Amino acid sequence: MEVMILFSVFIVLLLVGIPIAFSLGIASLAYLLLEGISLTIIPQRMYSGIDSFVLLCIPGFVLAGNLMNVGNITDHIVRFSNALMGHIRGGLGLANVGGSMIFGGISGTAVADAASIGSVMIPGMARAGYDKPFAAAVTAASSTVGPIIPPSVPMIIAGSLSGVSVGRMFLAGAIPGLLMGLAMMITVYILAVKRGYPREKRSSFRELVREGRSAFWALLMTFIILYGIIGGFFTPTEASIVASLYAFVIGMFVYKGITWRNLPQIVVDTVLTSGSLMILVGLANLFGWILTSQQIPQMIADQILSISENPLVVILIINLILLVVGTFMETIAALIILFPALLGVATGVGMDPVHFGLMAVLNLMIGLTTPPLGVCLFIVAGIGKLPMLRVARAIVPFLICNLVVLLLVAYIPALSLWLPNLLLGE
Amino acid sequence: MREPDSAFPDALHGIAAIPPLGGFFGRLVTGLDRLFALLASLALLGIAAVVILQIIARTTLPSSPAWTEELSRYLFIYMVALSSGLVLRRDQHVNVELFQQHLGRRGQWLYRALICLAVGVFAAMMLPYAWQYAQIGAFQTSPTLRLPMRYVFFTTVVLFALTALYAAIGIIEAVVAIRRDPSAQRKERD
Repeated sequence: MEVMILFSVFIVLLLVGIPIAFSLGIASLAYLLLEGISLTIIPQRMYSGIDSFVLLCIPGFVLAGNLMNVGNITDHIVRFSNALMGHIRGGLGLANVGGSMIFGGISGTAVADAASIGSVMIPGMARAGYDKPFAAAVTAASSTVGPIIPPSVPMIIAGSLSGVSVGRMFLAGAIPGLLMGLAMMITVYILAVKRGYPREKRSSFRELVREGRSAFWALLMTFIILYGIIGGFFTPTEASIVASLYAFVIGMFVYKGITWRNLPQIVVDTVLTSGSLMILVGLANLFGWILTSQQIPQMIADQILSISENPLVVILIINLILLVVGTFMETIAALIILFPALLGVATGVGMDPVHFGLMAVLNLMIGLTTPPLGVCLFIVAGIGKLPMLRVARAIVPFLICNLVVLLLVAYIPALSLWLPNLLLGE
Repeated sequence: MREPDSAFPDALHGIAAIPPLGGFFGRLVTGLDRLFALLASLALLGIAAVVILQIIARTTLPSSPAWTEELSRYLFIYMVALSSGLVLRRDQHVNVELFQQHLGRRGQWLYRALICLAVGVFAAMMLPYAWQYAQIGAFQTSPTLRLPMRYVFFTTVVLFALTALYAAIGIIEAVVAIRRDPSAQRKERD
């Protein structure tokens, strides 16, 4: 009964617009008061949620992304992507997807991708004769590939929750990330042919090399991070700081976007982004602790297994739950609250934790572009000054495309497990 | 719904910004903002320095120091705690915005004041318990630095205190803005 109160208070506060972190905190408080449990548990669970060596790599990756993002790296990435694919029909749409994939290797969140790529691409595509809702939809859909391609904040959190190394989680995302990108490009191409979207003129080889040179530095950062972690040279935290140093040098001397004057703002932005993430992690940890103490994860697991014990069906149910929750809830909070319950079920039917973690993140990413509450939809609608409804309609083909990829990832474990097992051993 | 992100342009927030206060109070708040932004930034730079030291030590020295991991973790927790006030002030918390953009300007400010009230009351209520929790740490020291854990657990007090303080500032600013804004009053009557 008290658990019902926990959930109802949380949902009401959430809908009223209280920050999710504090919706979780206040709901937990109400529950603890009713149950007469000492409130000292609140700071204690919060502290233990934040005090984690794994999560310590988050500010470093956020800083690296922010440092890279100053200057006009987004322009460089988009131009390179356009030089590669612009001459194909629907070229700018393809370049949008390609740009998101490269950008995903710099930033760890879909929101950063949507905002950065969108601010360049949506006006650009509209000028070139694409209809704007389509431009916005491509941007939103492709931004979700960012956290699948390493580095990725949700993957770090999924790793920390399942005890899987961050390097393994990162590697697991590589092939599904490429697959997602490819699938979206195919979707763009089909729509472009059907609707007669324009193509750009073919870039000369020289242009391609010139744009490639500036995008190269962005790609190199992804490579340094992955190679450093997989090769065992760095821990993820060390890799995040090395990436920041690298991004600083590139931003200062190659792209020349970073100055001593704007540097403090970049640092403060990083602190605030990481701070708000970690406060959410801390209070979600408290909420999750209450659920565990009430054996809710076990109940959910039993419920699912009572419907069927067939792995195919169980995996489908897990996906449905994650998709629905991902539509309404923020990624990090959803991960921390749901992950333990569903992980138990998934491993129970023989799923590898790495495979499950990746599938969960992919689900929640798709939730970011699902109407009516998808964050990325709001961002691109804001940039394109479009009514939400038109973007929601334009996103449908991409949503279907991403769901197909999700099904492939869910039922073909090799897509996520082959690469990490090859490079890191079973 | 939106996520906290530095790349997120302010114009997209949909909520009218609350004009800052002038006068002594305004200057005091600006000073506080700068102080905590500086302290939290120093914590982040501290993490970077410690981690770099760790890499250098590991690759050049026969044995690397054991305390770097612990120190970087504590700096991280302090960074989170010190940033908590500004996170609230700069509206960086993730929340769901279903109806806020349909409110008038004054309505949005009032709404903001109510959010700050809820968050602030929660944080203020937590303060004594965070203090108790910090006292538990009086009997423990950290494994490698031998730091009394009281100082580490004290971060929870800092976090809730700053959140409560900035919630109060947010309420005052919003209320003052509502009372000083005659144009919005006219607009709402139309």
